[in-house]
Order: sequence, then structure tokens, then C-alpha cells
Amino acid sequence: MNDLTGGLAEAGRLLFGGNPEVWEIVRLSLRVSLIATTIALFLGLPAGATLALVRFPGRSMAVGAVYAGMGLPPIVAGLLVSLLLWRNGPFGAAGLLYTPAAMILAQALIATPVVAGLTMAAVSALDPRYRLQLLALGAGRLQAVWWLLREARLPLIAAVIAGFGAVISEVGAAMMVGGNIKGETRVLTTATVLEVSRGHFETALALSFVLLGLTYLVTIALTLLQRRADPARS
Amino acid sequence: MRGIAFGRTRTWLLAVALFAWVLLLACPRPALGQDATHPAGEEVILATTTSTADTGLLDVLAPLFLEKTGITLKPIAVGSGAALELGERGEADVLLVHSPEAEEEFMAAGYGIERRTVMVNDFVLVGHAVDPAGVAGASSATEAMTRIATAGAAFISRGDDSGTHALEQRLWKAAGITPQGDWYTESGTGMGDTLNITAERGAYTISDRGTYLALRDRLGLEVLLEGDPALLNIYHVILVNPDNGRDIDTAAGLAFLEFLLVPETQAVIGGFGVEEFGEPLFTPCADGCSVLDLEATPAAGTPVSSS
Amino acid sequence: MTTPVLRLDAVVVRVNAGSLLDVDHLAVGPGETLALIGPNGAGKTTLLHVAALLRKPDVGTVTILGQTATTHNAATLRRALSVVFQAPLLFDTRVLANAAAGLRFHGRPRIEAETRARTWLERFGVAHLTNRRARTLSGGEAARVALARAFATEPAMLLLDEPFSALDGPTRISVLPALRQRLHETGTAAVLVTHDRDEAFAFADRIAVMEAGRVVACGDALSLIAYPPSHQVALLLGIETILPAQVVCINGEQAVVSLTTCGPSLRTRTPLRATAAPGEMVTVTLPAGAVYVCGPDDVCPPEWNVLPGRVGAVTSLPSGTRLVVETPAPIVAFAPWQPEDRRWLVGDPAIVAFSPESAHVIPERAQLPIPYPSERSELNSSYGRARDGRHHGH
Repeated sequence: MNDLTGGLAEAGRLLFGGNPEVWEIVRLSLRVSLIATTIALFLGLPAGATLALVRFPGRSMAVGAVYAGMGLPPIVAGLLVSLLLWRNGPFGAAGLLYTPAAMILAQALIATPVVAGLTMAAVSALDPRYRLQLLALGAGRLQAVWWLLREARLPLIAAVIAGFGAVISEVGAAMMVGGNIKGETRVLTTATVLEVSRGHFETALALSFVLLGLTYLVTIALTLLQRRADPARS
Repeated sequence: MRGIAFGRTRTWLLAVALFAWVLLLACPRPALGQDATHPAGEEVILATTTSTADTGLLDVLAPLFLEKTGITLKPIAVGSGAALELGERGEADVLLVHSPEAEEEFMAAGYGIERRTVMVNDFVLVGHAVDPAGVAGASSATEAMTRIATAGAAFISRGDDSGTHALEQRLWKAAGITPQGDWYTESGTGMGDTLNITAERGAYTISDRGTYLALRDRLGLEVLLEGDPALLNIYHVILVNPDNGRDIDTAAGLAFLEFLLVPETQAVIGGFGVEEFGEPLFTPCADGCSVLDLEATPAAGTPVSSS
Repeated sequence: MTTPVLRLDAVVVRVNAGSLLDVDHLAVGPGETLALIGPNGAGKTTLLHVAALLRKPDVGTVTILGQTATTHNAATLRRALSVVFQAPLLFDTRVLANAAAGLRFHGRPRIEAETRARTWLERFGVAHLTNRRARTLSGGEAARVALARAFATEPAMLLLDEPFSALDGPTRISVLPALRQRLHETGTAAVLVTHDRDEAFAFADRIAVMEAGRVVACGDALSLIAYPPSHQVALLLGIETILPAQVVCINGEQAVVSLTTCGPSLRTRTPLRATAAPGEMVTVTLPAGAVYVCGPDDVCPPEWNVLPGRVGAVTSLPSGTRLVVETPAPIVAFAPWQPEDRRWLVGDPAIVAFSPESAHVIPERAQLPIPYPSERSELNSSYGRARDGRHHGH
């Protein structure tokens, strides 16, 4: 217990004692994960909606792939992105490896199936007559999809929260494609791993508390949004 | 109705405010000591070992290097085996490793064009004070290993092709023992984790002094054998052959190599760790370490020219 | 001949081995209301979806306001229609946004859409709910908003798929007249799918009876009750007395049939479209509204059928007592409530009387096979519901 309270105190000291390194790590963690989640949103939402609403040949396989992707281990995602971004890989010339851009890419790869899968589930759960009602009212195909997404907005917000949660807490991909370089690609998770292997357990705990607090801030913002959208509560 | 509307607005505002603050938090701020964007645009990728990174030495050297040359050091800490593999593939510009046999193979195959000794530290055989195998009284590392194997005492190996692992394999070979059985476990993890496992299980292990010192207070393990020349751990810097792959920045790699060998840097290396552990973690060895009776690795091939 | 609002020609919807829908011809004129009744699986919802251009038939054409529907103009033609489903299907937003949704999809600007929507919300008595979240409404309120939403686009035709089935009795009673009134006011045609026979009768100008994907009867309510085209339709319409009989002889327009369940002879009108030969097996249908339960002093016209019998079953309903009088053929009649000491009991003697014109004879060759064991329960025959002057058929 001493460790926990010590860690909590250290967390406070690190954050508010004006430790610039920690703030930089926090900033980078948020930047990478928020951008990755946004990319996942723009790719995953339409993909999930399409899978839910359109019957095309090979749909079952696509659905299976999305569900498998939800369980993609972050280290595997890191490995795949490394293969692409290594100097001798197809995109090596871009020089993206060991930069935040590579981390964003890998995290987007992790989050997109999560968002797509949960979107698909959310839209499939809607009463199928809603689509008919929208068409009967005169909505175009895309208009109908947009309104259906609005109908499912509560579980969709949960999908985004799930995607964000998956990437802010992962370490395998960030380590592999980022390299945990101080001041450049060191994020909260990789920094924690480093402190643990150095034996600085109090600092590691402190960083963990910072990570948890941060995650909580983002999820509570999204949860308040969800509450506001829920008619049962207003 | 009015009351409900107000509550909704307030929740909405709160949500937006929180989110905005989080986003602001994420915005990059310029020049915090270490810049995310490099004016010179030059970087060097250094593949090195976890033990080097874990000690924190590179975190100290990187800003000095930047100040001196304007080049940003990007240390990627993997095991020695992985570092050499990255060098072979040309995914790194320069290597800092401590696995002599593997390094010699590397150089013989022509993957590296320059190899110099940087620093030395030593390995220690650690275990609990209880010492069931009676290691403490052994006269050499080989004898100690033999005692462990005979007693069937628990031993944790790195098992990950790292420099530490390579040294351990050398010791077994010298003792003429193939370690196998329930008592011999491969952790597959870095030095710090391996030490933790060793402490938990009341086992023995070989560790570099640096990592051991860093974790000493936590572990409750003791140094049972040290000083044997077979336990010397020599760190070399290797410049990767530009022919290994694309976009290898040999100039920057060379700059780092030279940086490591100059007296100022060697002095920094020699003083590293004193503050935290009371003793230095490394012995600088660029010009030979007379203390340890070691000679500097002769410059290979063409003389190195400074850029 | 005015152009019908909706026309279906040779429409077939196939599924696996059989057909879900197989309609030769169906038309709904401007301002006309058509009710679709039939058991579950008869294809009523499928027909509605095809008519609403929400489902493309495998064969056949749907014509809206004289224009044949194709893949290209379906969306445009749908603008002339409005559909209300079994559930109100309101969107998770404010009531006003819901009501204005159709207009917005049609491209009307927001202000205009909202103004028109407000008018319709008022007309359906839910103006006070304008700013409420749609999910917080009760069933009845939601149904009214759904109707307002459907009317707001001022369609040429409304298609309703059992819109009141989820509502309780009193709510249904209050919403249905409002709907009828608006339909009459605006001259909007309507197709109503319902399980409730009484709702169909209360609502529609014409009734179409469906079974196994086909329309087996179509006509105005009273004609269908009076002259059901087949035994099957009689069952689906919930006509209370349906008995097998044999023709004894024919005198001009009247036939004398003998009820084969060892009963008396009845004088009935001969069937309109086909002549029956003596000795032929037929079915006789007799709506309970046409049957009198005679008091001791009642005198009936001479050509009426007067049959004595005993009361076999007594059911007390809110609007009367339903009696099954065994003559010995069971004939169903409705009697007004009696004071306690004069209530009907099983076994009481009773005399039933009806005119020959009330009984309808269906020749055997017009009969369709009957697949269902419990036919009458399919149709909600709460015949005893409040309706003016129906008890004695006069």
C-alpha cells in the first residue's frame, strides 16, 4: 500500500512540479492516441455501417476479418507496420520508422477493427424497419445511413471509447515502431515499461496513475456526451 | 422543462470543455529542451542492447551528442542479437553491443566496416545469501557454474540471444556442461525482469553489474562471484556497412562512433552511475583498459577519418 | 375513369420454392380507403411493401398515379406515398424534427418544414409535445406523432401496416377516428393492413381478403359479409354461422336447402353468380347481425325462416349476449342484455328467425381448401364492440 500512495504522490510531483519531460510524454501519448482514434473513426464507422447494411459477396469473410482484427495483438500490429516502414521495406523511403507518425499508423491499425466491429454490431442491432421508414419518408441511401448512425449514436460513442482505450494503453506497437526514444517517441506506456525495467517502481506507478487519470478524463468527456445524447436521462 | 434544458446545456458544455482541454494538452509545444523537429534534419539510428538503455547512459549521452554535432540520436533498444540483425539488414546506422563472438562473425561477414572498444563492465553471478550450491567459495566462474549444475540449483537464463545470454553460453561450454532439466529456466525477457524472476524463485543468474546495481535495493540478491576475467563484458561500437541496405547514414554513424571515443565522452561514461549507486557502472576503455589488462581493438581496415 | 392512385398488375414475389405474393390485379382510387385482412403469413405486409415501392416484385408492375415504377423513378414516386409501420419508429430526436423529417428529405427548407409539421402535430392533438424527446412519449402519443409525420408530406396515399396493433383498446378507439377524419378531409387514399376485422370494417370503403399470397376477395364491407365468395373468405371475415347444406329444390330466385347436420330446411336466396342444382352440396353463411331472437309475442313475415331450438352456449359481451342456438344446427345470434331474472341459460328454449335474403349459399365448387384448424381465432372477432344498431341487423 505504501507503494501505491507513494506512486500517487510521485504522480502529483511529476505533473505539477513542472517536470517538462513528463508533460512532453503526456502530450505525445494524447496526440498519438487521439489522432489514431480519429483515423479509426473515419475508417471504421463507414466500414462498420457498410458491413451491417449491405449484403455483398464475401461479406461473411469480411465480418470475420473485422472480428479477428479486434483481437489483433498490438505487437503484431507493430511488426506489420515495421515491415512496411523499414528502410528496406516498401515505404522505407518515407523515413517514418521511429517517429510518432509510425506510432499513429500502428495504433490506427489496432483501433480501426475495434471501431468497425462495434459499429457493425450497433447498426445491426437497430430495428430493420427504421431503414424502410427512412426510405419511405424520402431519404436517399446515404441520408438513410447517416440517420441510422444517429439512431445508434449511444453504442457508437462506446465504440470510439473502446478504440481509444485500446490504443492509449497499448505498449507493444508503440515500442516496436516508436523505439521509446526520449523526447521523440516515448509515451506513457513505453516510459512505464522502461522505469519498471530500471527498477524505479515508484516512478513507474506514478506514470501509471497519470495514464489512468488521462484515460479517465477522455472517457468521461465522451461518457458525458453519451449521457447528454441519451433521452432517458434528460 | 426549463430546468431540464439547462441541465442538458451544462453537461454538454462540460463535455466540450473537458475534451478541449485534453486536445490542448495534446498540442505539441515548441522547444522543450529536446526538439521534436530537427533543424539540421539529421538523425542517426543506433541499435543497442536493453541493458545499455536500462542503465540510462544513453539518455545522458544523447543531449551531449546533439549539442556537439547537431545530430539527434535515436537509440533503439533491443537485444544484442536483434541489434546485429538490424545492422545486417541495414535498418540501423551504428551498433553498440556486447556479444564478442557474434560481433566477430558480423565483422567477418563484412556487415560492419569499423569496430572499436568503448567501455567495459563486468558480469556478476548473483543469488540469495542462502547459496544452496555453494557458489560463494568457487575459485572461478566455470567452477561456480559446475557447482550449480551438479546441485541442480535453480538457474535463470536470459534465453534471448543477448550479450548476457551469449556470455552465459560461453561459461557453460567452458565447463563442458549442457544445461537442461527442471532447474534451468529461460526467461526470454530483459535483464531487469530476469533478475526479478531470479529473486522470486530463490535462483541464480548472471547479470551485468550495471543492471544489478540499479535494482539491488529491491532484489535482495547478493553478488556471489565476481572478478573472473571470463565475466568481463566488453562493449563495442560498430559502424554498419552502407552496402547492407538503403539510406544508411554512414556519416552520422561515424560521428557517433567518434563521439563515443573522445576523452570528454569517455570521462562522462566513467562517471556515470556514481551519483545514484555510489560506484560507476562502466569503465571507459577506448584506449585500452590497463586495469583490466585489455587492449584497445585495433582500427580495422582504412584509418578512420573525422568528418 | 379516374386514374387510380395505386395499381398492382400481375405482381409476384417469389421466395424459395413458392410465392410470397401473387396478385393479379389490385387498384385503389383517389380518396379511397382499402383494408387488407387475412391470417398471418397471408402476404399482407409484403403487398404493402411492394405497393410502397420498398420492395421490388420479381414479376409485375406497380403503378403510382399513372406512372409505372422503375428502379430509377422509385425514389421520386415514393414522395407521393407515406408509410406507417407497426411500431411508430420515431427517431431519437425531438418530436418536431421527427414530424418534419419527411419534408426535409423532400428538400423543403427547415422553416417551412417545421411550420407545416407543427400544423399536423396540432391536428393530431400532440402540439404540446413538440419539443419533447421522441423516446419519452407513450404508445398513443408516439402513434399520433407518427401519423402527423406521415401526413405532413401531404401524400396522395397512406400505407399503414397494423399501426395500432400495439396500442391498448381505449387509445386505439381515440386515434382511429382522428385518422379517418384527416383522410376524409385531405382526400388522401389509404391502404390499411390489419388483423382486426372490426377495425377494417370501421375504417375502409373496400376490404381485400388475402390468403397464401393471393387476394381471394375484394369488395365493400357489407357486400362481402352478405355475399362471401367462398367458404374460406367467410371464415376469414368472421361470419358467425357457416353450415354445410344440400340443395333440395329451386324456386326462381330462392332455393330451399336442407342443412346436412340434421337440421331443418332453410329458404335462402340462390347464389348470385352460379346456379346450384338440386342435390348439390353447398355452404350456407348467415351473419349474426341478421338473426333475430324471437320473443313470445313476435310475429315474423311469412317467408322468413323461423327455427325453434335450444340455447347451446351463452357468452356475455359488453354489447350484448351471444347465443348459439341449436336448431339443432348451430345458429349464432345476438340478443340484448336481459334483467337478472330473465337471463339466457344453456338449455333454454329459443326461437331464431331470419329473412331468406340474409342467408347466402356458396356452391361447393367455389370452395377453397381449408388448411387451418382454428380459423376463427385468426381474426379478432370482437363483434360485440360498440356499433350503432347492429344487434338485430336493422
